[in-house]
Amino acid sequence: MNDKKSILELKNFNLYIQDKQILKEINLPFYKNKVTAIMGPSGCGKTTLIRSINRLNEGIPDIKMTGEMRLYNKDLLEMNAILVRRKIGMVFQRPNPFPTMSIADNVLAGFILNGVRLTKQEKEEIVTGSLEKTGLWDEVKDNLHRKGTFLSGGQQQRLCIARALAMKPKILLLDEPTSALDPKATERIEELVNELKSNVTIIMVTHNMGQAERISDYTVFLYLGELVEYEETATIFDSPKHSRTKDYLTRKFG
Amino acid sequence: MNDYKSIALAESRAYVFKIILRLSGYLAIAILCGVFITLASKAALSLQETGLSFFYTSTWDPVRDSFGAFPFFIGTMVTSVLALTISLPFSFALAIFLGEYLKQGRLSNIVSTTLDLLAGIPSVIYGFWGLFVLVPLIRDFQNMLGIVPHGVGIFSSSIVLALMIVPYSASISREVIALVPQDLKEAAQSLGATQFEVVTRVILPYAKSGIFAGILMSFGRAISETMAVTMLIGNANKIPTSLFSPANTLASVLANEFAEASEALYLSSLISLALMLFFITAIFSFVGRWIIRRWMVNG
Repeated sequence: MNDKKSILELKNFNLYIQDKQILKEINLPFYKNKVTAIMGPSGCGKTTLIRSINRLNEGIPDIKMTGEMRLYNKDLLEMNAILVRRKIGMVFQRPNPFPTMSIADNVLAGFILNGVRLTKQEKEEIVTGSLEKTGLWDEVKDNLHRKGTFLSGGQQQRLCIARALAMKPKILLLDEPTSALDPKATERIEELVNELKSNVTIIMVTHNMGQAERISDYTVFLYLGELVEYEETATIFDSPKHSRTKDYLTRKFG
Repeated sequence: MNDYKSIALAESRAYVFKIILRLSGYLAIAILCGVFITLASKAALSLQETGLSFFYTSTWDPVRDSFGAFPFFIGTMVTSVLALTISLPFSFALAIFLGEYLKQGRLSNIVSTTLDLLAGIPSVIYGFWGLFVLVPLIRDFQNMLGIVPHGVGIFSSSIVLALMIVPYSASISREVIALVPQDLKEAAQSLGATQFEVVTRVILPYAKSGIFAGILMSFGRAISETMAVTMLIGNANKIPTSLFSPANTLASVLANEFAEASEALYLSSLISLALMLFFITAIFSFVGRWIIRRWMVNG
């Protein structure tokens, strides 16, 4: 508990869509190099919350956000959205590698999209490094210039993680990253999350309680847009303070 | 017993229904074959008399029984390519604007309804507009350049043709752009891409085959457009020497000379032109469809 250092902190964060309040007065620090799992029943605002951190909600008409999201003592909501997204990577529910790009270009997509010119050597380092970090290197090193669409779902998802990591983000957001994958691929992603947290802070939304228990250090329980409980994962699973949390967690036994 | 009877009745009804559906499918094929056979049999005389030189002779002089389709082939291609070139930037911009920047809202509805209305205007109206508004302008322009001020000609018909195909190709490209999965756009956004970068590096590469097929289909439409072109192209049966030259396309010469064709060979030669037009448009339509099937990205 001594190494608690918050990297991102939500303060009185509210989010409304067309006057309907989706998130209510969220106060939530995320700790550096920890895995924080966000749980809660469908429609509780988990995905909305994680997408606001990447500023991906801003295309929604009639959206209003109040409060603060402090990233290194700067309000993320006041920053340029594009800068925020370069610092904070995101991986989505369904693996979404770019089908028009090769595997190598997918890893480099962040640079290609932003028009950053890289030397051949830089490219090689980034591609090799990111693919090694995600354990994909040995599986795809002979096919780097083929399109990524022939990969299995789990490999595609790891390619998407590699693509996010290539940008050297401070924070990696995972929005139910294994919900479209089989158990074996899920296990691989979970191992990967464990390996990655020494370098990057991970915030993940998950429906899978077992997954939250296995790989997260902290767990947030959201219910109807309110933060009900936020604790170390071991504590929240052993002795939830709130009855709502307990009811939700015990469903896995019932 | 009663049960079996009603099932038999229902089944026979379903059977008849299926037969009717199938017949309507066969009917479409029969119509296409019928058109082709009619054209081919009526064109036979001209192809017998003129032979293959019909396709490369550059004189079309019905009085001397000299029939060459080459000027019309060139006229058609030049007019259509020019029209397509003029229309592309506009239809492209419209498609991206409507498909990506202005997906919903009142302005979006107004613009798309306007496009639909534009696509529905009869081509004779475009032709009139061209004759009374565009042609005088072009004539002034030609005077300024010091060339013969025909007014009518390839350039005028290409501009009007471009106006006519913008709504058509914009709506095809827009549909293709709308097919680009939302999660790919979000993936690009989450990597820090601006909207412009999302469009140029994710959407267009993904949609390019569909857009290309849409261009081919618009080209097919430009080739077969008849009324407006007939009114504006100047109806000169020779190979055009400049972009301002009066010329004729396959479709416009057909519309223009059909009523005069009293001799069998003249009529048959016109029908050969029709057969050519039939094949050219069919090829573009087939190739367009083939590209969509072959090259669509499987996500």
